[in-house]
Amino acid sequence: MLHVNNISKAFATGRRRIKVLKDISFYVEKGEIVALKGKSGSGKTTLLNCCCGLESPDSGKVICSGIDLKTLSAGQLSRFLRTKTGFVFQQGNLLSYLTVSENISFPLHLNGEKANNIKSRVSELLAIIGMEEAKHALPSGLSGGETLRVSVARALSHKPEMLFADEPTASLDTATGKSVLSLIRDLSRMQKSTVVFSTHDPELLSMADRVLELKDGELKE
Amino acid sequence: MVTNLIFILKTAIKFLARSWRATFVLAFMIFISVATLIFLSALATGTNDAMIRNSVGLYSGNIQRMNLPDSLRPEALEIKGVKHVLVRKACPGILKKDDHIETILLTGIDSEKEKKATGLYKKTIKGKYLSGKEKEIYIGQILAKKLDLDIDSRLYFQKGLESVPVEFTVSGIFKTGIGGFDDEIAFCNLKDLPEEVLVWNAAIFLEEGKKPQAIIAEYEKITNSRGEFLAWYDLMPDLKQLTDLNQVCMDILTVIVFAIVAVGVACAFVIFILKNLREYGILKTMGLSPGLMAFFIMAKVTILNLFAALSGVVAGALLCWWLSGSGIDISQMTSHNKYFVISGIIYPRLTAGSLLAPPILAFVLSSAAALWPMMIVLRSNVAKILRNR
Repeated sequence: MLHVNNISKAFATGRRRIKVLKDISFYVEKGEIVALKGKSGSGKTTLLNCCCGLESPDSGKVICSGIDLKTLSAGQLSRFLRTKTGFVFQQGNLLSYLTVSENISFPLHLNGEKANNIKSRVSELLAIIGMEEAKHALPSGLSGGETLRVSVARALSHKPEMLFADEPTASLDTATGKSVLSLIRDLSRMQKSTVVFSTHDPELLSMADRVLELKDGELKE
Repeated sequence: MVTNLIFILKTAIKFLARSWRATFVLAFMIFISVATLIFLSALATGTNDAMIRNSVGLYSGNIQRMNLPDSLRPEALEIKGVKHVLVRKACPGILKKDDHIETILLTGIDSEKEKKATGLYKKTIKGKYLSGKEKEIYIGQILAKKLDLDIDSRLYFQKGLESVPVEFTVSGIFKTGIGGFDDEIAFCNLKDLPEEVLVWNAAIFLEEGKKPQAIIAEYEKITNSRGEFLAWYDLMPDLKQLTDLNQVCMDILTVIVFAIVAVGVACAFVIFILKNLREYGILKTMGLSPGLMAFFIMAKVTILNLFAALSGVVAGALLCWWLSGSGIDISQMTSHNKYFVISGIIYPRLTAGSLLAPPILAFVLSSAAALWPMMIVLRSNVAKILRNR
């Protein structure tokens, strides 16, 4: 499903060039849930970004859902992101001007789903995340946990093959974080999505099928 | 594709409606500029109208024709679009009082009709306008001073030194502030002209908004002549130049104001978009293509501009409509201005140009101003945007 092959990435800070990822390779099976563990600044976000094509590695190759991301044009990359992937951000990052149901339906609209399908899919997801009552609420009125649940529903609404989650529980307490990760796990299992999430919370690692650790830019399994 | 565009358009509307504070601040700048410029443009048109109305309405009329034969009746010139046709007969000669002598042009007029069409009677500073009594004369202030005349003074008019002097009584003294008028012309009733004058001059006053060219073309057909009927702008080229200059200044001002507004709007959009850059990053992550992203930004800007410009048009038009009834009295500033000799009141008037140019210019320039922030969004790296949290 996701094949990362010898990727390296460095950033320039002033005159210095810091190597964030050093020759990293790993493989994620279809339907697998993989946790990416590492301290703050270890390169987890950069690795996730490289895996979904938001960032290009300096060297190496990423093949996601059978597509070599290096070969994609800007338009093709947008199409890939729109159809094949979902992304959950640390703070949820809902679109502030859209209601809960509009946020969830956004990827479905972008993928040209029919209005009836969108309506039933949004209702289904609202029921799963337990937020039917808040479907007309704007993100500003939601708690951190609720925001993350909506964000998960939005990321999985179009049933992507891959779900990337960048420290989705970092801004939550452990209990709420666990409930959000359970939601990610249950929903992705339900629709057979592959998940790669990053975290530095050891308590959440047990929810993954496999844990990869990033240390000094190198990967340890 | 069309479904996507409609969806993005709806999202843009939701964005503007739900971020109403930011929308209001951005729209306000365009709204105020459009409303102000529509009003200023209408005011410029109103000022031009007032100068023309004053200059034409004092005496000369919109169209003049000299030396028409007596065989041509004034009624023949009363065609559609014409309000008044005034008959005037001029007789050059000298005015005498005691030892004082002045050369003048004595003009015979129909005082009743003149009063209805011209504003000269309003400039009476002493006595009264011609009333139709026998042997009255209405003279300018400078002439009265030169001849040492006052109301009811008696004086004599002679066509030449050999002619028989005809006695007149001063009915009134006027002051227009225009040299040629106050000094060189005197008026009497048509029937009191000392000698029969076989040709007449026509002063033609048109209905509001009528253009002289069309009427002149008709007259040339009626009189089988060419180039002898003169419009006000041929008679007063200085006034024509002044109104043209006024219009050009207004056009330049409009462009300058909107160039400044466009820069302001561009800066505001950049700040606005940079503030929300993370949301654009999220949209990119969700797979919004560069084309749809550009459409999303342009849709927001276009809707905002359209809304602001149309609101500005309504506000500007309402302001003009409100002031067009009472007018704006600037008499204090025009008391020595020959183009405001009858009235110093300006009535703002909307024209198609003054109503359409500001919103079109605002719309085009403000939309162009959105290209810069749009490029910022399109060229920014998603990973970088998302990393800077």
